Amino acid sequence: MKNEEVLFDIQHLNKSFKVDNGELKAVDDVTFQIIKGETFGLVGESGCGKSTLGRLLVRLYKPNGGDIFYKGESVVDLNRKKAKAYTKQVQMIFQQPYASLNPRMTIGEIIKEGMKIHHLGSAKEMDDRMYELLDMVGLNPEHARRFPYEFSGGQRQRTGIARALAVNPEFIVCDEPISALDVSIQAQIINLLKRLQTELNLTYLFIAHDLSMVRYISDRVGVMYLGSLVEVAEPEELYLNPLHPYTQALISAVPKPDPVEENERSQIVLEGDVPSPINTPKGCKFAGRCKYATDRCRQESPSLRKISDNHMIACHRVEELNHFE
Amino acid sequence: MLEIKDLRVSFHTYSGEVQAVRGVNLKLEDEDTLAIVGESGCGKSVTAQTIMRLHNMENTEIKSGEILLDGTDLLKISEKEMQNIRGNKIGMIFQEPMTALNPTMTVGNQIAEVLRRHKRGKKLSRKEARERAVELLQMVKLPNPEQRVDQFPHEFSGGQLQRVVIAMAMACSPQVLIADEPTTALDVTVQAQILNLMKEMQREKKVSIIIITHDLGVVASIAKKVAVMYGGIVVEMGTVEDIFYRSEHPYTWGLLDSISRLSKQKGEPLKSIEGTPPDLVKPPVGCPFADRCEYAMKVCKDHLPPETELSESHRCRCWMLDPDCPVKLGRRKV
Repeated sequence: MKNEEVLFDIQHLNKSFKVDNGELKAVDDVTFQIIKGETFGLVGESGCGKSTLGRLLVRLYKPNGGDIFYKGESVVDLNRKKAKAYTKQVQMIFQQPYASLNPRMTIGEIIKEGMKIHHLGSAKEMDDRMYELLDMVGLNPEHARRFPYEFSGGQRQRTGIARALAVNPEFIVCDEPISALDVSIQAQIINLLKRLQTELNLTYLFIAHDLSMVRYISDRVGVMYLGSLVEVAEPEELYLNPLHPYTQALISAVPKPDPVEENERSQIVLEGDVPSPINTPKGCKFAGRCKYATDRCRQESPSLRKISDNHMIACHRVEELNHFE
Repeated sequence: MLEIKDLRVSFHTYSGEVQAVRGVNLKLEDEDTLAIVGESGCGKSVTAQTIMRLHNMENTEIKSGEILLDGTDLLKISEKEMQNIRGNKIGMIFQEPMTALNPTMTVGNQIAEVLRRHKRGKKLSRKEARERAVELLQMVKLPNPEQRVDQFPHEFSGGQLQRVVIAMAMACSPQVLIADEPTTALDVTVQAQILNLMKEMQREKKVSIIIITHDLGVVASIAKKVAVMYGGIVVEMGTVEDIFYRSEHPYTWGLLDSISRLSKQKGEPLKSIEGTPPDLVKPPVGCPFADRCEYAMKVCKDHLPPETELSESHRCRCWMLDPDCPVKLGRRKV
């Protein structure tokens, strides 16, 4: 990492939702750090809590327990004034470019809304800034007067990015920003995000279920399963040497876009589905589907620990299992 | 045995006539797996839906073409005859298993409905239909089929529902199975299970599969033949090896490049195809990809390239393959 300044320090974060038949633990005792300037990729299957975690960081949800430190200061309980100042520094890009833009506002108004809320300059200055942003994300000045329905998915996502950048944030949560887009458009958006990161020195939390894209864009990747972070490592390390049995299955499930490699791919097919996050049993959450699970795994939940410099894993048996192989 | 000849389909909308499919030729042999790939709006789903005649005919116009199933033109037969084709000869799997099923009926009753409606010959009793439904759920490897058969769709996960949908599509042992983005709404580990199930169905039931997808990983894992569609036409068609290793069309190159992220170095930008697909209300007269193609020549904008036969299995529509074309590129390995 370029500089080891910790931007986010997330400590034992919990978020649960009350549902009819119990408690849904969306984020369960998650602890990790995000370093300034990096892209932290977060992967996992639907319902694993990755979007909830992203939303907790930008204060769209309030945690039930644990703490979030941004530049050393807790942001869980902030008064209104401080909360507003915080939202200027952290922004979000949403998954659904069709649902996340107000259909009754023009593209220009959408981009300026955040600037107005934070009183960033005169009307003229905001207009200038808006045109600058349009140019920065690859849209034309005449797009400012159009409405979202006139735009394609890729153009809407560019608008979402311009809106997030309008208030000069330091940190952006990208919640599946490309999964609703076509393959050829996905590459355009990813290249744009990468370029903006270098130009503006941004830090990203990049949430996705597309493992190959996360590998490409991230400096470190965290794998989530049923609300817990099970493994954190640098992408090459994680993809070539996954240690957690769930990560191994997840990575082996991705089909390779090459018929010969695909034929030779050895697959660890997990039986069944991800269990419901409502009233989860104690112990390791993956124990029910893990072929290596022992009684200890079913009783005691493993915590995330460092096993080498850049590799953290939550598994009781990681050492002995990897002696096997 | 299933052959599509010069299919042209248009939709009449407020903004004008959308020429969604503009002359598609495809052939599906017995026990073959054909993947149709392309971006949204390229006409891949419309082509598949036309085979099943699922369009609202009020605003849909089939301008020309034939869809021959064992010699019968599906576009010429009556709606009643078509109902005997659906389910019995051609089954379909949809993209969203959550919306493809009726939320107010148990899955067993929904499978039984298919059996009772489509089974030719003797009519099944309710009891027989239920037993058969349990067998089908067993065939798609749903755990505890005896109990699950009486449950409602909301009690199933996405992957389980897709198994139910596959069981329904396979209920009357069709010859052809059309799968429209069957795994797009599912997670990767579940996707792997469903693709394996489809491969198994093909081996055991000898069904031919048309799979529509935009995921080249899925294509590599299941398909034998591939048709790449763009702007309502098939721009390149061949075996899976032809498309992945010997492709000749710049759009196919673009698709392959935009997913080759694994081999990329960190700092290197991804190859992307600039621009957006053409508007099919006013489809371009020339090659539909010409506007986004880095090799486009004047002829590309003015005339639709003819189909060039590169080998027995491999066909491609690109002016660069014309013998008079001065530029010779050929596919470089990604």
